[in-house]
Order: sequence, then structure tokens, then C-alpha cells
Amino acid sequence: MLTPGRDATPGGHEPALEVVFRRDYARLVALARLLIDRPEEAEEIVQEAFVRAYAAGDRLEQRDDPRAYVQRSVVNLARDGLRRRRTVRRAPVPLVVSGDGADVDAIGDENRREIVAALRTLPERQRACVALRYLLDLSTAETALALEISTGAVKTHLSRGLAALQAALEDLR
Amino acid sequence: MNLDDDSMDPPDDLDIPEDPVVGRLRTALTALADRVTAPDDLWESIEREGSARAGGQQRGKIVLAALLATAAVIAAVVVVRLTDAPTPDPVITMATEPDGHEDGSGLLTDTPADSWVRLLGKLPAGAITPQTGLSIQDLARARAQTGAEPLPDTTTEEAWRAHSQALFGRDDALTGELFLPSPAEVRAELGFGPEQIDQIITWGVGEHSGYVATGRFDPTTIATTVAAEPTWGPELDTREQDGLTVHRWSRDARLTNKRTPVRDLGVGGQLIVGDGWIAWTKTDADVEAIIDAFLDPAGSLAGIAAVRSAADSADQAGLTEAEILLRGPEERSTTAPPAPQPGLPAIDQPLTTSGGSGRPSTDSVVQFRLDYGTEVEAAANLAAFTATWPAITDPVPQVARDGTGLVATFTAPGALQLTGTYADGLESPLGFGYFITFFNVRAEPLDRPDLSDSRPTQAEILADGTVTDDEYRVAFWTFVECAEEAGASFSTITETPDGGYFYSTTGTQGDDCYGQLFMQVDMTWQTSR
Repeated sequence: MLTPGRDATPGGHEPALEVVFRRDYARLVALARLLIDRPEEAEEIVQEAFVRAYAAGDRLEQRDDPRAYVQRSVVNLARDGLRRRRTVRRAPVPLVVSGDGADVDAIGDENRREIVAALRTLPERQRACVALRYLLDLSTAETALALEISTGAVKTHLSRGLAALQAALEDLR
Repeated sequence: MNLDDDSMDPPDDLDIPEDPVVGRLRTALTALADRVTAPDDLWESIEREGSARAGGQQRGKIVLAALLATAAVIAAVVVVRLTDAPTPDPVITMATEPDGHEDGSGLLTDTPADSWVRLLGKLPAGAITPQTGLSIQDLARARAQTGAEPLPDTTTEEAWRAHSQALFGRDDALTGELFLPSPAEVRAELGFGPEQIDQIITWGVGEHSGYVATGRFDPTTIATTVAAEPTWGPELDTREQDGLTVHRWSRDARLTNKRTPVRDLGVGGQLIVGDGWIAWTKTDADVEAIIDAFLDPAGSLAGIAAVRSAADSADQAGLTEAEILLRGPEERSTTAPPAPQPGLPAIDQPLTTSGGSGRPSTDSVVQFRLDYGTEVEAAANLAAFTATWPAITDPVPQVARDGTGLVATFTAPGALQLTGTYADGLESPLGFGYFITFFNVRAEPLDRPDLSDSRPTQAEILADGTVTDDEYRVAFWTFVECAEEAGASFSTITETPDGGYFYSTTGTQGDDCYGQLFMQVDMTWQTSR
């Protein structure tokens, strides 16, 4: 009998969810920071996603890939939080006044800061597609699964998001 | 256009080329992730919490406070908490409540049936945390104060916004599962419509979140409707518990693809139906906690003195909505207070900050409040609190101590736009409605530059590759003016200590102005710092 949230990885004995945690925690936090307007809540969202996956236990093992489950949870929790706080703030704030400012500063290179700042100006869905694809290295199909949309929609969002990023970055030159 | 619709899929051969921006993007995102480290014991905390939830034990909550020790290093501290709120006041007396159950706490005795304190008595103390505040809206009062017309059944999001504007003076006050769908859709799914809601508290985030509302609900109609609803009806499990009816569609916020107008995330949810009130939430644990709070208000939000005072104060002032944020004892003892604005005396961190607005007469009322643990502590901070407001002269705020609270009340005809500078350092500004973070704030009118002569374009400003503070300021106010002309309303505009701006606006009017007039300047200015 497996304990909740645990499974054997091929050729090993590590619990599957813990493997996802060790491997992906940092990238998932970065993803959440890009998706929400209060980056300081990113860690809480990711932890909540892992707790939820752990608590799902057998149900998770039978129905879903732990990594996909956690990714989807992070996206949905971020989206849920955003909807509740839709009144709170608009684009310019995070880079200046919250902890996120230090976070982005910590990237340490002006080019990179520009990219992240431009990414944050994209519409929510485009931003999520770009982040899942290029931060978590998900395939188009995996991105579609995480967002629960079609692969065609992922391609459209990606295409538009990258075009907008390109335009924004060119304008800065 | 619905981009999530399969029918809109582009051809498969439209693949995404690995253009140069992708390489830069990958590098930047990798750098962002590389700055995140998981504390050593975080996984163990997740295991404990996950096991507790799986076993239906008392839930704790993992809270991670990110500490930015330097601009280059991000450290994180994980605190596992079993309770999220201060210990409620001790039991006082026994009384029988109009709701039909005994209130051993006596906290609700002599409170009117429609008081906000009584509303607080239906949510557990853990519903407010330092990370997630409460939002209280009194729709019945707002309808009475404004005379706003009820919404038609086929309301669109645009009409919702107009209705919100009419009731609360901002167009995004009514959002979430119960307000984004049309009234007919909510009614068809849950057996009641938003027009039947008189008061509502929105609480929590993510899995542990929901609503508690009072109103004119018909339990029989609700029971019939939810049983017959085609998508979720087949999964319905209904039980009677402690005089309440609990409709339960899924345990613990399980995500599904069964999305409906109300359940836009595919979470079945749980609905508690009482006499004149309902609660909508997502987990078994939260249902039990709500029922426990209802049966014994000593363990409810009404049992937290500072929260009760904040809500009661707003209620007594005739406000139609208010937000309450909690700062618990732990935060008070472990977090260094922010440096005060120049010229402002230091102020102790309160237990709660709260504020809201309403229109109890022909004038609008905006109220801000801090609550401390004792009257002595409140009195000691009155001078510092009073020093926040002298620059506001039209109208002159009324500043006073009210028990353990410090209150600033503004009365003015029409909507009140507050601007000012803030020195926060502990949390992000709130920005809802007519409420700015006023903790250690200097509130004063911001000067708008005269834009009548020249309005440089972004290209002109960026021609030399730099953005001066003056250029940034002109571009910002040009954007504001454009957005206002497009119909946007800026409820708050505050200037940050480094010369940037925080603003809160409603609706989507003027969104184009941001891109056309300010976005590139904003990004350049911000990234240059």
C-alpha cells in the first residue's frame, strides 16, 4: 500500500511527488510569481499545490501525473487569487514597491529584467503559456494540459505572446 | 473571440519558431528561478500538512514569509501554524439568539439581526489571516442608499460592472463566482440569485476560501434546484447537521473539467443553508469550521475583538463595504516597523487595519481605522495617526480614538479620490475602492503637472534611451488623463518613496492609454532603478 502522494519512480524508490518537489519547486515558485500580482504569495500558492497533491493520495496516483497535477494547481490557484484581487493593482507596481522588486533586481542583468518586466505586461493567458513553455520547458501538449485548453489555443497564445514580447523589447532599444 | 475554443485552433503547421527572443526569455526565466530556494524542512511540512488533510485532521496552514535580506538573495522562512488568528475573547454570557440557536458567548447579544458583527459570527476565526483579509459588502444597504435598479437576468459582465459602479462607486466591487455569471445562471445552478443576497463576506484564497451571505433565501428552492442541476446534481450529497442543510458536491476542492458559470474552476464546492444565510466554500474542514463558528460565536470572527471593532465601526458609520486586514501578535513581535515618512512620528503596528466607504446621506463617507490590543496602546498612537492627515483639507477628516481603535472619517459630496505618499515596508498597498494603505502614511494631495502645452510621446521620451523623473511623471499623468477621458476612474494614486506611482483603477476603460502613453516609459524607468 502506497502512502498518500507516493509512487515508485522507474528504477528507484523515491516518492514521485517528492521528486517533483525537489526538481521543480523553484521553477514553480517563479511561475507563480509571474502569474500573480502579489509575488510574495507565490511560495504559499506552490506549497498549497503540493499539499493538495499530497493529500490527494491514491486518487492522484490513479488519475493524474503528479507533476501535471501540481502545475495545474499552481495555475488555477494563481488564477483564483487573481480573480479575487482584480481590483488591487495594475501593472506598474510590482517592480517598484513589493518584494518582487528585489526579486527582479536579483536577476542581475538589465536585459533579463527587461524581459521579465515585458512578460508581466502580457495578458494573463499569454503570460501563462509563455511561462509554462519556456520556464518549465513543457511541450505544447503539456502546456495545454496544465491550462486545460487546446493545443491550438496554446500555440495561438504563445505566438501572440512572443510577438508582443518582441515588439516591447524592440521598442526599448 | 474565445481562444480556448478548439474550433479556433490554428493549423498544426503553425509552430512556434525559436526566435532570438526565446533564447533571452529562457535565460531570464532561468535566472528568476535560480533565485528561489526551498528551505530544508519545507517538504516535511508539506508531508505533515498533506497527511493531516488526507486524514481529515485539524488543518494547519503553511505560511511562507519571504525575506528579502538583500537585493540579490532571497531567503524564505516557513512557519507552520495551527491557528491563523489571535485567541478569541473568553466566553462571556449565555444568550439565545434570533437565529434559533444558543449563543454561549453572548457576543451577538443585543446586536441587530442585520449587524455586521452577526455576519462575522458565521465565519471561523481562522477565516482571516495576515495574508488574507476580509471583504464585507452590504448590498442591501447599498441598494437602499443608491436606489440602484436590480440587474436583469441576462446580465453580462459589462452590466455587472455598471451595477457595481452604481452600488459601490467602483465597477469591480462585485466579482467572483456569485457575481460574474448572470443572475439567471446563478439561480439555475444554486437556487438563489445575487439579488437575494443582502450582506456578504468574501474570505480566504485558493482552496480555503468562500463566501458567507445573509439574504432572502428559500431552502426548498435551493434544495430542488441543486438536485436537478444537470452538471453537478448527480454528484450531490445532502445532509442535515445542527439545524443546517449542507449540500456537498465534492470533498476538498477537487479540480475537475466540469466547469459551469458558477464553478468556473471545475470545483464542486459545498453550500451550507441556514435560516436567512448561506455559506459557499470548498472543503469539508471549512464546512465544519463554519458550522462550529455558527454554533459558538466565541470561535468565530466575532470573537476576535479587533476584527469585531473594525466591522462594527464600519457598520455604525453606514458604510456599504469594508476591508479588514489582520496583523497577528506574531507579526507584531517579529517584524520591524517600517521607517516613518520624513516628518512623521513612528507608529506602532496595529492588530487590524480596516477601511471602507458608503453613502449614508447625500455625502459619501470614507473611513480608515487601526485597532490595537488595548485602549492605552491606541491612545499612545493617536498623535502619530493624526499626523497622517493634516494635508487633507477638502474635506478635513475627523480623527478620533474609538476604544481600542483610531479612526479617520472623511465626509464629502460625491466620490472622494485620495492621493498621497506611503511608507509601508510590510505589505503591499491594498488599493481597493477608496481605501489606501494608511499605515504610516502621509496623505496629501499630489500635484498634477500642467499637461496643456506639451504631451511628449513615448518615442520622444525614449529617444535618448533614458527616462528622467520629470519625464516619468509627465508620462504617468498623461496616461491618467487619457484613461480618465476614456471613462476610467482612479480611486487611489499614491507616490512611492522612490518617485514611482501606485494607482488603483477600475474597469478596462483606458487600458489602451497605458500601452500607448506610458508602458515603455514605465518599464524603462523601473528597470533603470
